[in-house]
Amino acid sequence: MDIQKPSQDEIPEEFVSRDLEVCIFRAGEKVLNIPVDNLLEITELTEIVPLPGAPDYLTGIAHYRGKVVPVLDIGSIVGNEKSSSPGRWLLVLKVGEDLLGFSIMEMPDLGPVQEGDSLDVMALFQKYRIR
Amino acid sequence: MAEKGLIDFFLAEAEEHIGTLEQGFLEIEKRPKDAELIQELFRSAHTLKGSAALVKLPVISEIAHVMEDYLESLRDGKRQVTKDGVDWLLHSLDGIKTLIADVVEGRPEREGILDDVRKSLDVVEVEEPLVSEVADIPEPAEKEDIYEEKRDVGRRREDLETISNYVRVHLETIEKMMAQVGELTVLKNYLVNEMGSIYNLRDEIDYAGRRLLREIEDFSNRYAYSIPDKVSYVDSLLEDFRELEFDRYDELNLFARKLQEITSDINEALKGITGIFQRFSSHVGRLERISTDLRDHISESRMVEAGRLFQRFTRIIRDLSNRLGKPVRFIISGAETRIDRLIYEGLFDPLLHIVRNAISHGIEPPEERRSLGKPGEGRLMITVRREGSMVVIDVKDDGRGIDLRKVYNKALKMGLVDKGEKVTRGKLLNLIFYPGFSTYEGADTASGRGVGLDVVRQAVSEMNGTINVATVEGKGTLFRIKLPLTLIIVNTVRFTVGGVEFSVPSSLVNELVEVRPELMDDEGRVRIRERSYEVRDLAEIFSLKPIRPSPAIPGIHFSLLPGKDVVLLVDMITGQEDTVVRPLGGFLEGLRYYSGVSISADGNLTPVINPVGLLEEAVDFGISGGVSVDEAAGNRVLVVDDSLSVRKFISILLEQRGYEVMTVSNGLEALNVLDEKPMDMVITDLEMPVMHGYELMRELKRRGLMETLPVVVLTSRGSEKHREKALSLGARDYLVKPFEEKELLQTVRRYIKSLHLT
Repeated sequence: MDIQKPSQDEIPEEFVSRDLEVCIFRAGEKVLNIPVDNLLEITELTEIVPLPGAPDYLTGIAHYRGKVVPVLDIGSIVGNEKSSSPGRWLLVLKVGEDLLGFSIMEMPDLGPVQEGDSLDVMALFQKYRIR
Repeated sequence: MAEKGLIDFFLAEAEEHIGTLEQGFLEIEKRPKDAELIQELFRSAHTLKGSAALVKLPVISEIAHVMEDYLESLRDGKRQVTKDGVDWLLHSLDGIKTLIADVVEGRPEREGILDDVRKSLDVVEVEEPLVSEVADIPEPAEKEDIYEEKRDVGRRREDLETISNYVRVHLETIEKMMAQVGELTVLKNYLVNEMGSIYNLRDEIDYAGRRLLREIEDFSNRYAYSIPDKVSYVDSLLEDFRELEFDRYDELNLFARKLQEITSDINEALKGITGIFQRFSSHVGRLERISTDLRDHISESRMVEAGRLFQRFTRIIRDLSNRLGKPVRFIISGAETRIDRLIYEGLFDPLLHIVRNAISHGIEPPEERRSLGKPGEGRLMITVRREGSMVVIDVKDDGRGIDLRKVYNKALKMGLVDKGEKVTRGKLLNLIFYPGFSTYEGADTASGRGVGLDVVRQAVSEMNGTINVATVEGKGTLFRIKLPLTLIIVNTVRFTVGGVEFSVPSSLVNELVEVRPELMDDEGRVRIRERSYEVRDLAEIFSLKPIRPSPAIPGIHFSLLPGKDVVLLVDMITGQEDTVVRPLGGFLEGLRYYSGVSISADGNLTPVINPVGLLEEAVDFGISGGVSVDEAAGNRVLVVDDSLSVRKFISILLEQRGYEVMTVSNGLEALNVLDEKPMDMVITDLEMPVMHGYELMRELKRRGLMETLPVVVLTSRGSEKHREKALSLGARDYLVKPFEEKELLQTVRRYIKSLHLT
């Protein structure tokens, strides 16, 4: 049996070896990254239920596998920009025992740690948590 | 032997200890130096001894005692672990098992077994001198002889779990089952809802089928009339023509007959489908009953007797009454009432607080009591009972009652009432639940400081319960706590405000009312059946834009506290359902207006409001979640058309673009929908059964709705006459079928402008 030549479709090696340490996303004017260890899922933001009475930075709540995820308008928190619409993508993060979601406009990417500013999710959680 | 109930508890406990001991005895052979293991076995034997004695089973207790002694000597190194020793332990355990089997079958304990255990121990001890006496343990010579006699004592009862009727289950397992039952309930609700849609669909198919049949019948009748059979033709040319006609007649006749056949086939199939639907519906009904039973059984398995909770107070009350020098008789009633374990745990602190308050502040010292003609010993009574799906706990004392003058003065000091303000008793009593409110001055170790009744109220409201208080000066005070029996599956009332759906546990709802704003007084209160209630508008609290077409606004009446009856205005009450309420999670924990979120089978989330948190601190929260709310408020289209395909087509077309579409098949149904649900636009056909499009528009005009509600006509009637008539009745636009998707979408967009949809 002949060994086939690599086809043109094959993924370039450097792409495979690229480190996927962080999830990179745009929030307002800023490019941020968070460790993939915090990341549970990147999903399309289908339905978000507003929670009237909650602070403005809370877009609402979303459903993630039988659990309730509070979704933050991360653009308004770090990017100083109130989004006009809830965003198209939902980053579901695990912060300790809790879940937290970011609603963002552009699809996030995974990449090496050099890209974007690192976001301390725990600190953010503590700071914006409703007490 | 003790009474049956106690014995049952003992059996369940004994089973666990026997398991531990049996496994442990086998283990110590392998790990004779494991001090921890020996200690554990010792403890187990010790507990078994105590429990057996408690339920008056002296033989079991004594055997456990002998085992305990033996294990103690092992633990203290006075004896070493030997095979014979282990054999003896197992043998004695078998003795206990045999005795327990007797107990289960209601026979008295056999003393002989104890004698046997003792005798066989003597044999072991001969073979196995104490460590202090001999350093090396010699191999026992004649093992077989020693154990000959034991056979008649203990048949091994390996199948012990069948002896007692109890299996100990970890609470977590029950919690998991309960959570699954919760999901099952939600799914079942979903199916039950879907049944409604299925029936509607069936009716529509049925209707369409009948229409088709009728059309064909009409058609063939007409044709039969137009070609009379018995026409005599004189001319031969005409005769030929007749032949020709007959050919056509045959063809049409054949076609009509075929259609009739097909229709009757469809009819037959429909009957079949109806049968299937009916069976399906009865299965869903069964599923509903089973899941309800399952829920009840699993809830039942998590229930604990309330008496066990109150037992915990006995000691505390005794200590407190001694310390304060106030003799108190503690009376419990309804101890056998079973309550949910979560409630059991959640109730302890609130009850403790009330009990402490009653003893330190309520009940007077004996001499004072006697001077008042009361018995020197104070009375403190806790009663529990079930009322439907609620559990009611009363804590009653016969002390001095709450001094409302003190409450008033304190309230004045705290600025909760104005000087000279007339306050009702109810309102004053309500104030004692305010944060930081205490009429008792000075430090107090008994009831503690800094923790007030507000904490009690908060704890109760977190369990979807309510608390009330009644007091008679000089006679005593009664606190009444009402809680739902179970916390996992909650029956909720669903409602909408500003296009957002909410729910609230029905256990908190007093009643559903209708409020006419013009009947509200200057203070924003309303009278319902001779009583005046405070009215609060949820739309205002949440800064939502209300959608209220009717002059009577639906309201939910909450009786949260004495004197704190509030009617909360909403837009629409949409129904009631059993649902699973999930916690908000750590991030949103502090949001007091909600107690959780319910998740339906199709994944929809509905925030569950907590009226206590909401109505206590109604401050202006500012606008939030505004984007989605506005969107929800301006995208509802009502499609009125007798054709199912048209309704389906438009629904799909518009729903894909984010509109909320409702469909009905004639004008009358449209009016019914509009009575109940506000719409932002109506698309209507002209020819329809029951009430046609013109009539619908005339009625809407009469109601003065044509100005605010855009109505667009979509019809197959293309003539100018109809167009003019429709426009004169106030239609905004006139589209003719077949229509272009684009044209329809543009029209809809033109009339629903407030929307920003992509």
